[in-house]
Amino acid sequence: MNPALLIAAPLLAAFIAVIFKKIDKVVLGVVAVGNIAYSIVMAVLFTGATQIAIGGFAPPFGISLVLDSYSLIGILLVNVAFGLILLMGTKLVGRYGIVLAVSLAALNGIVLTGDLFNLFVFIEVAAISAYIMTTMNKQLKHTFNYLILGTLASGLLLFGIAVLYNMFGSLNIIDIASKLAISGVSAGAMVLPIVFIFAGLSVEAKLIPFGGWVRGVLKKSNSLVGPLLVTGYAAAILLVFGRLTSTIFIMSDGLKIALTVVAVATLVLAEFTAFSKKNLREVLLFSSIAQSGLVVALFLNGLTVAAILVLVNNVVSKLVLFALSAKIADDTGTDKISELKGVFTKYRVLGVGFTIAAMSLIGLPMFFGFVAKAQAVMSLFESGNLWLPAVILLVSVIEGIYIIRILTTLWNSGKEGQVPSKDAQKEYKLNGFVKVSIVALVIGVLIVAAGILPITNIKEFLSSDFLSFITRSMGGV
Amino acid sequence: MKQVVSILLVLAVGFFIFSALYFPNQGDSAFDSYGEVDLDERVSSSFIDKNVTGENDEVVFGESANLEDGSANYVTSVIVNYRSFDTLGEVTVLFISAFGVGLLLSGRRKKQAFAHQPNFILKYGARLVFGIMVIFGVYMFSHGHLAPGGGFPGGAIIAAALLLLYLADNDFRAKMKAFKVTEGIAGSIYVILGLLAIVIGGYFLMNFLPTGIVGTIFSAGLIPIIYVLIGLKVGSEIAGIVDSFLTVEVEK
Repeated sequence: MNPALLIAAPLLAAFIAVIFKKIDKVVLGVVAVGNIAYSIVMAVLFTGATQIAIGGFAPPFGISLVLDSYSLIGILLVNVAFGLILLMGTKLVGRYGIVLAVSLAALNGIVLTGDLFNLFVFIEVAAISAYIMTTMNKQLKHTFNYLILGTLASGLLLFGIAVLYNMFGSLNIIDIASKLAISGVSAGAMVLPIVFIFAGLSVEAKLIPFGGWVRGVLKKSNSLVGPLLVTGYAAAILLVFGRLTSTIFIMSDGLKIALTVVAVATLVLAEFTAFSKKNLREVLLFSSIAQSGLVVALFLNGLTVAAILVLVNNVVSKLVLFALSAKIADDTGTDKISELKGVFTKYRVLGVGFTIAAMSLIGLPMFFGFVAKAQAVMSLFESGNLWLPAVILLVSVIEGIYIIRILTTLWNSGKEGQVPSKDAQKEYKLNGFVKVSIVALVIGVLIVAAGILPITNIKEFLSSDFLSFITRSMGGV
Repeated sequence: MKQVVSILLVLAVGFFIFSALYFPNQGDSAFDSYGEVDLDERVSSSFIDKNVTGENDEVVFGESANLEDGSANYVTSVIVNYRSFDTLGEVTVLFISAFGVGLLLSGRRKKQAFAHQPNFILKYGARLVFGIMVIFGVYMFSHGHLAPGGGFPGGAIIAAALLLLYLADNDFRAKMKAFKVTEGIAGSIYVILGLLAIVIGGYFLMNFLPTGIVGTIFSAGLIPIIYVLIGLKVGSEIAGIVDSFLTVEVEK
């Protein structure tokens, strides 16, 4: 099984679609489905962590792809999320089929690559595809802003990688990690590259203050671009954070605290901002930014399993929430929460899917989000950290308040505490929401199943083999 | 106020970089001093000696044969052989950028009219120079493994030749469809060659052709083929950008 196919197939599809313009959607659909199938097959046949060399030159000389349980989770997450988003937004693809295919290749590359410069190349490809895709939202000035910020970030990332290359004479992440262990480079010497790589990745990971582009670009996003950027893109970039923090980020305590403060400040500020917003998509965007901050904070503190669980929960629930919100906004012309009173009383299936995803996002028991947040808080306690769990619990309350406020408004067309009269019911009209409902329901069932199954003995689940599998083979090639 | 903050930020970042690179604390130096680097520990030294996959002492121009990488140009060996996957990525960067420009500036378009009216000599002289430039571009990308140059500059030269025609002749406009097809075919063949390598050698983008004697035209296996593809691809992509920028939308 060669994982390079996950990257090569969408690229080939994009090149072929340039020649035959009319079949671009067909080709895109085929590679999206093919990638999901191939990544599932790879996960099933997975025997142990390996590095797959490209071009026949063994690592660290050639570029290599890393196939371990960590990257497998990544490709499953990215490809499935991409496929579902495409399924729900097929009509919106328009002339952007080629861009979407290239972005799929780049996201797989980001997750799989074990080489720093190769990582930069794929991040660049993914970012340029994102700039082009966001022009769909017709916010050209904001897209330009994003372009400038993203290009600057690529520059910072490249500078950080160049410093590392100069220090170790190698670009292979695992090779650098082993050289770090042998040579005993001091944490002080690593400050420069780490800070620059962190800043470079933070723009795409949307950490405050680097993620200033998000609101302008995505607050009016349609149900294709927005979900893709807050799920697939966020997942790929955050997984890179995890890969780097667990291998080559040798940090002094001071630097670790400084970077954690950036991540936690993102979490807190973004949750408060989400609390104050009145439009569905803006609330969800700031909630995504907050979750990115949480995941990065967990990765920085070495809690890979908890970080992955929180990341998966965020990707899965945001996929449903953002797609539904954008769909409602596309069809009704607004996503102002106060103008969408009682929309779910007419579209109950959508409402149920939305509600399950929202509950999981908050982390209520019986939903997958609870398992994720419990793991995060418990492992933080075990590592002796007390202030971070306190912050996480506090912002969860804020998150709970604004999400439940949204849910009550969307389910109830009348005044609070009263049964609405029939006349007060506002008329909504959504077109072709069957696919969206099916996706929302299926994901809803999965979230509940993943939330209930471990609940009988959550402590045992959290120490189980499955979770140790996630990190067992990571980087240990 | 914004400007003051920006200047202060730039100064702070500059100070951070400068102090980390030039005045590190004791033992915190990121780099070895000049001349003290152990070159054997660097991957790049193996790229120069061409001994990644096996033993090889010295590469002699015109004599060494059947090396793992037959390119006489070190830069080319790194770009198109040792790190060919990155190059596929960089080709995609240009591809998607050019596509994005085309997407944003699409619709029915006509040539932008210049204020000047090119005279006879400029118009026909440019055609003469056009041919020479294209030949030079083709030479550049087909000899990338022997001399400085390669697919990227070669393609850019060809696109520059086209730009010359656009500037020197008000009525000239190239047929963009042909460029799109060239671009797609070249890109597809690059990926297909990579996939073929999995079947033949077991590795994506492996150089599976024999390499011959360093310094001769057929000496680097797949490298010249890939550089020709890149040259065609880069040329047609930049030509597409030139066309997009030198035309204006037709009002309906």
